[in-house]
Amino acid sequence: MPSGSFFPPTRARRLGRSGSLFAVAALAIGALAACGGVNNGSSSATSSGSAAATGSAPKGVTGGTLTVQFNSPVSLNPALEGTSESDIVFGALDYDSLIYQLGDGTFVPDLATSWSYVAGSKNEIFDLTLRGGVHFSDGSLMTPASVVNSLEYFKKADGPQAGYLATLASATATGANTVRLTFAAPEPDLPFLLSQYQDIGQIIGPQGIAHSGTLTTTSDGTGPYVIDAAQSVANSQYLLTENPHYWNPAAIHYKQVMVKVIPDPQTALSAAQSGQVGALLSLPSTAQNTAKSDNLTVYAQPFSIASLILMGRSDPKSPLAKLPVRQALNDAVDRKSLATGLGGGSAVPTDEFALPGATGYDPAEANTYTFDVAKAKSLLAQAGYAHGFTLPVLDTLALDPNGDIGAALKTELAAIGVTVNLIETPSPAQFIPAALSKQYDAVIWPLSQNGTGFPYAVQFAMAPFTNVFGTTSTQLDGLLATAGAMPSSDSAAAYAKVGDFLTDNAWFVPLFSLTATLAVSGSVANVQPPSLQNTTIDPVAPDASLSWYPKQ
Amino acid sequence: MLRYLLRRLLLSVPLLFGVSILTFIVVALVPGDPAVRILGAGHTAAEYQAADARLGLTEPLLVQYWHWLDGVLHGSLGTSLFTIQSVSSTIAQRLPVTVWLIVGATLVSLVAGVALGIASAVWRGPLGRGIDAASWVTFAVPNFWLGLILIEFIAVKAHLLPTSGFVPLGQSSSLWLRSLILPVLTLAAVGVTGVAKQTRDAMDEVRSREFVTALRMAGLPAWTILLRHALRNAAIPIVTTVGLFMIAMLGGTILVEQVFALPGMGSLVVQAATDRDLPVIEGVVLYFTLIVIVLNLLVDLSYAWLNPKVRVAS
Repeated sequence: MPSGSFFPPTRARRLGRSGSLFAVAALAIGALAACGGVNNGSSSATSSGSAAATGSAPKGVTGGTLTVQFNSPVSLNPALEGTSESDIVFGALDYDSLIYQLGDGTFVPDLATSWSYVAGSKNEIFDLTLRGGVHFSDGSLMTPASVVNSLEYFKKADGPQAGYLATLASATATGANTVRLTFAAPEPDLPFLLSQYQDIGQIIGPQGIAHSGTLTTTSDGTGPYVIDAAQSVANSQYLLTENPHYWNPAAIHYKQVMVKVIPDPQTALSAAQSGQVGALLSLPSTAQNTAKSDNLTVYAQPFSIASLILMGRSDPKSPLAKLPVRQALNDAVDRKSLATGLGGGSAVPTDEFALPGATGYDPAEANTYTFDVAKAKSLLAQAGYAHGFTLPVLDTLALDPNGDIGAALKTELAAIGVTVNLIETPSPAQFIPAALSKQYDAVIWPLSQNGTGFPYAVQFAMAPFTNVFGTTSTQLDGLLATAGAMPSSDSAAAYAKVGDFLTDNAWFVPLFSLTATLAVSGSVANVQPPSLQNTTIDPVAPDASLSWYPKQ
Repeated sequence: MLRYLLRRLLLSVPLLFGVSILTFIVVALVPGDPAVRILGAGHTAAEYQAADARLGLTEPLLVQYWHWLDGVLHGSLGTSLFTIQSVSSTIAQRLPVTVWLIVGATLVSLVAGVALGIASAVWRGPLGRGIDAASWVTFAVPNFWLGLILIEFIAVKAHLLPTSGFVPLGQSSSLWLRSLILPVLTLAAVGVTGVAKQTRDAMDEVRSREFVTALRMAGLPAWTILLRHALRNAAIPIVTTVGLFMIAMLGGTILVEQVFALPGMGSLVVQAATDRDLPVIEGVVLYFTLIVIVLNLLVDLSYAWLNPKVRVAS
């Protein structure tokens, strides 16, 4: 290393002036940082945490931009969107649905002002009366023909929800403002299926259907907002501007909505803390406590049930074919500890297919399976597996972040001698083909429940990839058919019997509720948490008193 | 020089071919089915297979590659399996963000790194030791962690800059700049210290040469010797280091764009890889390869500009 300074000492002192260059640069950056606000037009943060306010809502636009965080949509086309929360965010903002479900489960008018099953039709014929004077975002009038066209498009598009219309025999315009839907089999949950929680009731305009390719970048609905394709970047941010043709302008409180895709939970929390976003619509449940400590108001709604689905029940070669084995697995798990440790603070442990208060839940069956390792071992011995067995289990990190549930189950079942060979896949794109390969006796997948969609929860739990060995049961089919043919006001007990069947036969190992977590900053008012479980909160509604607005 | 440039560009063509074929093979080997994300869960194996057939994914790999290559030769990179948008327009939307990020980080690394390197060569002692320590830290610390720390203290606690997101230049130049500062600093951190170290070492080596002593004895001003003569002679290893860091930053943009929720090529390729969206993956890989080729070319051209002997030799 050469010794001595590069410059003579007197020159070195004068070089201190060059330090001023750096100081000027630093000041410039500081000045730039001080210029303008941190916000991108969203209302400023107050971080008071008191976002929920149900006082009298204003009529019409009172705010600029509502900025919310969410995940990437599967598709902006409702027919291709699928059953994820993103249909509630992206779909609800720009597509009204035929029926709107309130937080307490009540169905209220939206695009349809009234509806009913035809008496004596066993829930197979459904009549709707449409609201008059509703226009699509291109200005064209919504007619019975356009509603029929939209439903037929959903069926033809063969998207994730096309199956809900599989038994739709016909959709016909029966009058100036009436539509009749005729199904080949009972469809008892149509008000729910046609609500904002499913996509099939989100009516797409004729222009959008005629040019369906455009529906992946823009929208053609009757909802309060329209996607601005020019200002949106796929999988990054979506700008929705006020729909000038909306039938109820009083219900629009923000001039525009910006949906920012921020996948990293920490970045999302920082954005909310700094006021850059007003609401985080998709947070992992494990981030609840951090959100609360950041002075955000957190809403955690049970949305589904983390479960081990025992597909091998119909594989004669599998130990799971024996009922005592399946019961043993149910008795071997400590649901309370799993809910506390993995549920993020608001999880509810459950050994039933439905959560307390939801359709299909039977209080008499609660705690059929208690955490009892000795009993579990005894059941295994009774079934001829006193020394345990190896159980190949498939999991996906997309729904089990960090593989925590898989790891916990592995430990708990090891205590009764069951060795879990756990395979983790990064996303459903790998998970589902692997599940269909029949190499796994069990999969970790949520039992999904939305609103009152209990029969669809059962149907989903028996989907091809969660029922690869083709379990069928005439008893279960009979119970579902009986409940499905009854009016919804009378079917609670009948659906509870379906739940009892599933619990008693231990086709699944339900663990604890998974929550849909939402965090809101103090800049947003009128966030009304639903009292009905398994529903999520909508930022918009067809009623002005239900939509979010800027806190004054 | 022109012949040299043309030769380098022509040599890039087989490289692009090779990279595209390798990408195709790697994606084909990765398990997963894009039809699952398109159709959703709850469908039978036959339904997924039918969707794969509609997307052309059941054809032999060679046939799929040929279709893609045919499209490229006709100016089309295909369409995304999910958004149905053309890959070219998707990349056109995203590329500027990544370019701004890399250009910004490179400028910061170059200016700050060279300045710190010169300063520590001139004023030895604590500054030099500080740079050494800082370079160990920045090499060891993951850039996404550094980004989260910067967000926490500068954006959240001090409210000086936004936490995430990107504002296009056309929308507002000041907001555009503010949206880039933290991501650029995150990406540039390891570059600054690495360039500073290289600059200091190169300047030390040049300083010991006789021509520097001769220039000093000739009475030239110290800054003139430093910046016009010594730095120029030390520039080639510095430029090499900067070039290497620029290429490394391409990979760094993947995590930085995720942390700062920037709609760039890095976040695009993450989403495409998760979805197994092959046309998008191919398009992004091609562009990244082109960028690396161009960067290497620029570095080589800068050698020629800095050192006349290289010009004569080429």
